[in-house]
Amino acid sequence: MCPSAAPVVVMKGAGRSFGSRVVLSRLTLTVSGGEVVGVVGPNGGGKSTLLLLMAGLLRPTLGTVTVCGIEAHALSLTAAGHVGLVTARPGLYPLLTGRENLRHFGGLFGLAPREVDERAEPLARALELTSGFDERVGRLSTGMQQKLSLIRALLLSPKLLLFDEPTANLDPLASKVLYTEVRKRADAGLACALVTHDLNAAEAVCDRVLIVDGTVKREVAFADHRAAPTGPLLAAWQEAIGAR
Amino acid sequence: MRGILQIARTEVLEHRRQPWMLFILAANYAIWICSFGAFFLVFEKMSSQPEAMAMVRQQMVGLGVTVEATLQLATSTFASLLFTNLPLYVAIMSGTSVLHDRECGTMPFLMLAPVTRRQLLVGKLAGAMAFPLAFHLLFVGTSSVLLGRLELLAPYAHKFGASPAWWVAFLLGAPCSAAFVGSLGTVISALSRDVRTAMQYTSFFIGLLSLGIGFVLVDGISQGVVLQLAFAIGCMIAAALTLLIGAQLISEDVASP
Repeated sequence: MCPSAAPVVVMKGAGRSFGSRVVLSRLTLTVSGGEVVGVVGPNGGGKSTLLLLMAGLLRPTLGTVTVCGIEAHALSLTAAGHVGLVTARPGLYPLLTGRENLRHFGGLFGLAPREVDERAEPLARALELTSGFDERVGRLSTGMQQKLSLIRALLLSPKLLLFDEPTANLDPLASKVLYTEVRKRADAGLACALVTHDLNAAEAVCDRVLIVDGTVKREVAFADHRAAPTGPLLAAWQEAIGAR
Repeated sequence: MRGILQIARTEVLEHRRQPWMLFILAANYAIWICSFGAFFLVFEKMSSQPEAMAMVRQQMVGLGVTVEATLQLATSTFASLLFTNLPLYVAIMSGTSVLHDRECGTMPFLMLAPVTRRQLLVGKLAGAMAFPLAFHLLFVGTSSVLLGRLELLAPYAHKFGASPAWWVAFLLGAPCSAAFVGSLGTVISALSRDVRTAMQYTSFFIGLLSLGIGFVLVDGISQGVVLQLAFAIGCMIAAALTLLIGAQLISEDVASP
């Protein structure tokens, strides 16, 4: 159990290579409970790899990554269920309905079907998904599937929520709901990391943003994430990445 | 245990949503049973008509075979085929079980759930075994007990439910050997990156193993209950070891391409 505001993710000199290709190196950072850390950067800059390292789904080839004080990869092996994930690919069973999918994943986390329904239905209403809830997932649009994936991550109670381009297939209203929920969860003490290409959203939601291109090139902190976006992130991006 | 049951339940639910696949499995049993059943019934009918039977015997001698040898071969083949189907079906169902999660993109979410790799494999195997096992109990049980009552097959009745060793093979040997074959299929599906690789290994390697298991089970019936029990226990140990090793093998990067 991680106490609120304590570092949930700690990366010390972490890096990851695939064969001879170094994707990430010299990563030293923390993500604490109650904050949303944004990750932006160019395509192929290692943003998703960074998230997978945090989730423990990839083993670092250099350094260490811990979640709640436990080595992240070991955490996924011991099945602690501390990490929630939303990716651009929804990751649902196409032959099952949305409700059945949610009940399946909720069941793995020890939630009874009724409990899953009670938690999911307000979220489904907010995301305007009620009509597609009992449809087979394979018959839903990608955007609807993405909303289900989002509900799955939010109805569970992880210590760390990771989002990898979660709004890729979402309409503006659903994107807004997602960002509101992310902020709400962070304010409730969860640690959140958000990979996105939407700099405005990153400025609006995140407490600080990491500009990643093989390593953390620059970190931009926002004193008040609720302030109207002013666009300093774009300037910082251009300065950090330059003509790549 | 909760995680295993949840994974198995979802696996069964997905199979239920593919009724054609289940129909094909059931139809395969039905075809074998009807074909051999008709063959045995025709012989049974003829055996009550001495003139017709004498004619058949005469013609078969001309072909260099006897009625008894033909029945011996037919009963052994039929009983073996019946026992082969269960491990074969479980191999087919399990051969893409974990790979299916990779294809649907659900694998990372399963890895992040409070379910160990071992529980994941056991749940997948249990789910893959559910329908084949139900069909085995229904089709093999019913057909063997009914055919075993034919007067013609009295000398071979021990292969069709008239011996304790057959019941051990039916209720323990075949399911345990299917669990072993299914554990191999599940691990192959977890390690494969594409359906073609998974199906090649499953079809060639495990398919042949399943055929062998069917013949071993039927040949072992005459050896008695103890041998059948030993075979079943051996298969369960092998299945447990396979899943243990498999869980270790898939413990590395699950998200890597």
